[in-house]
This record gives sequence, C-alpha cells and structure tokens, in this order.
Amino acid sequence: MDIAKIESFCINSCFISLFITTIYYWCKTLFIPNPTYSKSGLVGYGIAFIFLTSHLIFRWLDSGHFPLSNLYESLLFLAWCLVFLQIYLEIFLKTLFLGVFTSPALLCLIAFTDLSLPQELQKSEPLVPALQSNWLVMHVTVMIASYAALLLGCLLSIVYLIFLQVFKVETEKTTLFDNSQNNGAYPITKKSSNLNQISAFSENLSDSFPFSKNEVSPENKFFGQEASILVEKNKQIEAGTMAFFSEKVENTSFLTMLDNLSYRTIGIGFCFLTLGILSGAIWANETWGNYWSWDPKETWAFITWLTFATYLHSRLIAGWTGSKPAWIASFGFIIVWICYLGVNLIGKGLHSYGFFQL
Amino acid sequence: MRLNPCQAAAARRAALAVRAVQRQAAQALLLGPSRPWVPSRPPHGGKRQQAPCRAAQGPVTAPSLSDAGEDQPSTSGRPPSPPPPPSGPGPLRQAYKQLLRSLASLKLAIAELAVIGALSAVGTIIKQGEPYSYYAENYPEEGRKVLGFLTGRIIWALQLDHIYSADYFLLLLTLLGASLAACTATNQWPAVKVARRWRFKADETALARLQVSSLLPNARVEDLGKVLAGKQYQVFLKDGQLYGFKGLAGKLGPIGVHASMLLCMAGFAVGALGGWNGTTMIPEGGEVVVASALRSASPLAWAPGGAEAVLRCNDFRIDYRADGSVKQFYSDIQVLDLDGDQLASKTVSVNQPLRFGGVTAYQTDWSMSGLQLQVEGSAGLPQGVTFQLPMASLQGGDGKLYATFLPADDPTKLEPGTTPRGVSILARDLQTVTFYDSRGEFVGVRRLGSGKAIEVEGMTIRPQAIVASTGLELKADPGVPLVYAGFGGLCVTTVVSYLSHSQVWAAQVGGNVMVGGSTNRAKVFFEQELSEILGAVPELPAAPALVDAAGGNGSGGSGAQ
Repeated sequence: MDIAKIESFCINSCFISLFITTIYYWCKTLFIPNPTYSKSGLVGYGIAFIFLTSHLIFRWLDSGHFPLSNLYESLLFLAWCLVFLQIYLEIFLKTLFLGVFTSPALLCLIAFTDLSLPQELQKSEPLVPALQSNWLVMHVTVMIASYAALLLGCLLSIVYLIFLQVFKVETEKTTLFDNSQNNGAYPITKKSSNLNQISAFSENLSDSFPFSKNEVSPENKFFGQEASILVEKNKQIEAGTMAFFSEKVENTSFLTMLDNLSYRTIGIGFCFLTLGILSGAIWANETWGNYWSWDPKETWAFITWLTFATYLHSRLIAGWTGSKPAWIASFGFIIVWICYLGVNLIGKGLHSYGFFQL
Repeated sequence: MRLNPCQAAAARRAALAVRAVQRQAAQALLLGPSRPWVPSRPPHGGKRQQAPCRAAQGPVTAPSLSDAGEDQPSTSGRPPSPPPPPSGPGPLRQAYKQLLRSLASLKLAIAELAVIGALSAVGTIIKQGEPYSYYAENYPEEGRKVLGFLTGRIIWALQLDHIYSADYFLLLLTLLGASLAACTATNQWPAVKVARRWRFKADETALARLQVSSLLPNARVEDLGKVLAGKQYQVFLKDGQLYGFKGLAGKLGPIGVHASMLLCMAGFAVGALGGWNGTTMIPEGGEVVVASALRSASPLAWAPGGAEAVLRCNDFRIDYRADGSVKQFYSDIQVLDLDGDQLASKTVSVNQPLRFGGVTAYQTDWSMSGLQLQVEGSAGLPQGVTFQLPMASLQGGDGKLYATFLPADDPTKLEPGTTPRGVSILARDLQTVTFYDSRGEFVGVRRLGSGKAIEVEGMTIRPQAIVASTGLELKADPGVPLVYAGFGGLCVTTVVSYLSHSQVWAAQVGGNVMVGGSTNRAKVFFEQELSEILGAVPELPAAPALVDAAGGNGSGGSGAQ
C-alpha cells in the first residue's frame, strides 16, 4: 500500500476520532445532569494520539529525517504535544472539563492542518543544508512543546475568565459567605492564600473583591480518590440548605484549581521556551557564528518569553492570582500565535520553514 | 472499641469538621474582619511602587520571604523588608541605596520588559538595515503617510532603521541588566539567608494561619514526620514540634536565573566590545590572510591569535540531490601560518565550522570566480588549450546567476562603438552552463565535465569546469564562553525554578497534632499531597468517648446550618 495513502488514512482517522471525542465531551456536559467522570473521553483521545503518532512515524520513515521540516509537520507535532498534555492532565485530574475545551481546539487545529494548508506545503521536503543538524530535533521539538504547553495554559486562563464571568453573577448574591466554611468536613482546610498577607497589604482590605472571599474554601472535588468521598459528603450536606453554598464552594475551588493549573502549565511551557530559545541560539552560533541576529522569529520568541516572564513575576513576586494573571495569559495566547504562525506570514528570515538563503 | 478503617476515617473527618468550625470561629474572633487580602486584585496605591522587589512580594507567594511572611508580623524576627534607612552612613551611600531600591522595583522591571518587547516588535515590522532612500520611498513625507504620521525622516531620526543597535535600545538593555543586578543584591540574596533560617511553630493560631492547615486527632507528630519523610520532605523534629520542607531548589532557582541572565549580558557586552568579524570569498586554490578580512567591533577589541593565519581553499563543492536541490556545501580549508606551515585543516560545511586560534570560520556563501574551457575555431584564441574566463554575478542571493562572455572576434581589432560578436555563457550552479549567441538566442546547455562540445558562432566550445569561491564568515567572539556559561545556567535554573518550595509545620497539641503548611507555586497539588499525607498518618487508639462525641458533633455541625 502506498505510504501516502496510509498517511492520509492516519490523519483522517485522527480527525474523525477527535470529532467523536468532541461530541462526546460536549454532549455529556450539556445534556447529562451531574455527569460523572468516565474514561471514555480518554479512549477517544488515545485513539487520536495513536493515529497522530503513526502519521508522524510514517512521515519520518518516508522522508528519512525527523518530521519537523515544514509548517505542516510542525502543526502536526503541535497537535501531538497538545493531545499528549491533555491525556496526561486528564489522567492526573480525572475531570471532564478539560476535554470540553481542548477537544474543539484540537479539532480546529487538525482541520486547519489537514484541510486548509495547501497541498504543496504538506509535502515532505528534504532538509536544506542549514537544517541538517542534530540541533534541529532538539530545538524544534522543544519549541513546539513549549508552544503547546503555553497555548494550553493560556487556553485554561481564558476558560478561567469565562467561568469567572459565569459564576460571578451568582456569587455576588452570597453575602454570608462564612457559612460555607461549615462544610469543611475534609481533612484539609485551605486558607485564602491571602491570610498571611495582612501585614503587607492591609490597605486593600476595604475593597475586597466579592468573589475572592470564596477562596476560603475547602477541597475540591476534581481530585483523586478523595473526590469520591468528598462528593458523597457533599451530597449529604447538599440535602439541606447547604446546597446553595456548597455549589458556590465547588465553583470557587474549581476556579482556584483552574487558576493554579493554568499557572503550572504555563510554567512548564516557559521552561521549554527558555530551553528552546537557548538551543536555537547555540545552534545559530555553531552554524553562523551568531547566537542572536534579531531575526523576526527570534524576536517574537523573545517577546513571548518577556510576556510570560512578566506573567510569572506577577504571580510569584507580586502575588497575583485569579483574573489579573489570566488577562496577561490571554494576551500571551495571542503573542504565541503571532510567534508561531504570524511570523511565517511575514515570510522573512531564517525561520520561514524550508526557505533558507545561503 | 475497634473501628474498621472506614468508620475510623469517617469519625476522623467528622471530628475534623467540628474542629474546623471551631477553629475558624476562633480565628474569626482572633483576627477580626480585617483578614482577607485579595489576591485577584492588583495591589495598588503608591506605596508599593517605590518599594523594592522584596517588599512587593506577597509573603506567601514570595520566593524569598515565605519564612518571614509566615511569621506573625508582631512576633516575628522578620528582617525589615525594605532595608531600614541607615542612620550612620553619609548621603552618598543613602542615595546609592535609594537608587538600588528603585532599580529593584518590580514595576520598573516590568515596564522595561514591556518597552523592550514593544520596540523589538517594531523592529520586525519596519525593515531593518536599509539605506535612507528605502525609508524615504516606503514611508513618504507627502500624501498618505503610513499610520498617519510615520515618515522616513521620523524613522531615521528615531533610529528605527537599526532599532536593535540604537542607543536607547542598548541603554534599555543595560537598564534591565542593572535592575536584575539590583534585584539580586537587595532582594534575592538576602532571601537566601532568610531561607536558611527556619524555625518551629508551636503556636496553634500561627499554624492555623498558614495557607493550608488541619488538626489531626489522636496522632503523634513523629508519625507525621515519617510520612513526610516518605514523601521526600526533609524533616526536623524537636520537642513535639515539626518542620519539614522540600523543593528548596525551587526557591533558589530564580536567583540562579537572574545571575545567569547577567552572565549572558556580560557575555554580549564582551562580544560587542571585544569581538571581530568579517567575511571573505576565497577562490579554489586561493589564499587569504585572516587579519585582512576581520574588522574589530570596537576600538577596545584585542586581536585573536588566529588573525595572523592564512586560509587556503583547496576545493569547494556542492552536493546535489536527485531533484536538483542543494544537499550540502563543502570547502576544504587549510590553515597555514605565515611561513606556509599547516596549522589545521578541515572540510567545512554548513553546521560544521572550522575553529583556529580564537577565530571560527563558517560556511555561509559561495560564488563563481571563473569558467575553464577549450575553444576551437576562434579567431584570436589558441586551439586546444584550457583557459579561464572570469565570471560575474548577475544576481546574488538565493537564485544565483553568473555569466561570462566569450568574444568570437579579436576584441582588439574591433572598431570602437560596434557590439562585439560572441557567446554569452550563463551558470546557475556548478553543474551546467547555458550558451546564448550574439543575438541573445538560446543555443544549448552543457553539463560540465561531460566533455561534450557545443557549436556557437562558428566556435566549438568545450566547457570544463567552473572555478568556485567559498564564502566564509569569520568571527572571533571572546564573549562566547561567558554567554554559554549563562545559557547553561539558565537551562538548569529555569527548570529548577519550576519546583514548588513546600513547607510543613506541625505541633503536638495534647493527643492531637496541629498541622500547617504552605507552598509557593503548586498550591492545588500541595493541598492534595498534604491531604494524602495526613490521611496516611496512623490513628492512635482513641478514647471511645471522643469518637462518639466527635461523630455527634460532626453531624450536628452540618445540621446546624
């Protein structure tokens, strides 16, 4: 059988499995009241992952070099990284919500890659001399992995902002929030992280953001084994008038989880971005004797790096949580796309994938 | 009375529920309504703007001062966040401290990052390094101005044509470097000392105030220590008090990141001031003295040892793939001293540079310097002798095009003003040449080295070979070791900085253990982990009365709502 046919079969199957997975996640969330977590979504993602992996392997066998030489292949690898991250996080978190947002995003990504990119750009081409280096694998894989992690982290931040808007309306009605602490029937009580900061920031007390009070909330049902017990507990409590409050608490702990998850995902993406930029700089120095030449791609990677450095500082040094860093991350979402695709449209410089001027 | 594990767990949770309620009530009384500081709000007010990095850190989330932050402000031995105004030292020293403090401010640093980022972005939109005429043409003064204001003159005046080497851009980078250094000196470095100083917490309210806290009924603090140690915590125990931490590297990492960045910047500066670079085109068989091709980056530059060497190109060749695309470029380069003795020799290709005496030669370009051929039937040219015609570039860059002209008549006998009759020979690569006659008509293509002749303008031409030149980029950058050291440091410290620095305190309170903990990054994960740890602490046989009471209170607590 023709290897090109196998490849197109792989990518089409991947698309179909992602499509079905998307429908699954959305139907389950929209039409089933109180959906319980099951692994079906993971199965769909797993199938997509297998097809995507074999597609990349076939291309590797076909071309004889690591399949990262043009935009099409890098988009495929980006999708691969995103699916990998999604599967990893879902196994870790055991939650439905992640798939609800990542599956349509991935579906669009694969659709764009497979259907929108012109056929000429999809063809695997031999490597130009400058790319014939082991640094290629190091640099490009790490860069794409960082884009994947950053994009996912930013997507989570955007989701956070959306949920904040959705929940905020309800939460504002809650005035006697302290009551909700009474369902603290869990081994851990989480303080609002700000309790210890009285000394430094007491001037801010008067204008407490109504929502953030909810941070004085226990547990979170999205985690591990604890979850099942907690849900049971919650059910008992919900029987009474507590139902209203516990829902709020769930929402808040859900948001807190989302917030921290996005922080950690962006953090790992930032590590990869640093490694990717540095490996690129070293590679450039080995090849042209210039570790930094302000090529548009380099410049935008640098801007991306600055953006997320700001994000991390706002979290770690200024101690921001919640919507502020989420806005920075949403801005970063755009920057990453400019860096990844936008610069290619300018079509100048060393990174226009496959074009190289010697 | 024996409980099965399930019941025991339920009982414990119920007891905890009560405790939690009681404790929170107690805290509410203790701390009053003025507790929550709002993390999702930007800290505002002028106060923090002037405060150095260190003061701006929220204690809990701060990488530096979490120890200090977790202490009660009233009771702690927390070092004052902004260094206290020195009473003794003179005004100069005070001014220096003030400067250091303003440089270390996070707001300033973020502003620097933003401006540098914005200027960098501008540099990708406006084409860099073009002559003035380009900007005058593309950004006209009259008519429709770009964006309504941007003209060639403005671009030229603001140095937007070479933004990355503009004075103010370099100044900004220097300022960023100064901010990094100031932050490390006034904030991060003192924080290392603080991080080494830890203490036990015995006070129940102090423990309860931590990010995460809990009460373990009927447990021993030693058992908790064992479980913590099993989770890779470093645990210290003394008199029924416990302190455990892990991921300390995550707290020290950011210092390393800043230090590595400073190292990189120092390397950039050394390279920019002390470096040499240049390009050279060496024809096959030709030689060039390295020093003649090198230009110094600044008057401060010192010449590398390799500058005295002579480079000799023995061969240049291009490997092509079956489809005609270039596979690789190779140059056989010999490094000779001035007496002609060989110092080094290497086949240079893209990604495989040659290094000698502090100079590195990179394969970056090539050209054609001449065409060797034999001609029969020409008026003025000798028969059966191979000679060489010089080639000139018609088009550089990616689609190279070289040409030469073979006169059919003796050029010296031409009347002035008449167009000479002859053959134009064009080449795009080192493989084939194309022949055009006097009228510019295409005649044919011949493969070099095939020995096949072609008849043009009454001559039989046998093209032999193209003499190529290799284009080498020569560099001597004394900053590279520093930059690479910085890169190495950044790789390690950025990854290390991802670790979350988690700390756990506990104290034996009667038969129970009061536990509190905090972490600076992975808060949700830390809660989960601590929850698992507490669940794994073995429960001591409890007095039946306590279990019953706890169970009763637990349900009562929920029902009361």
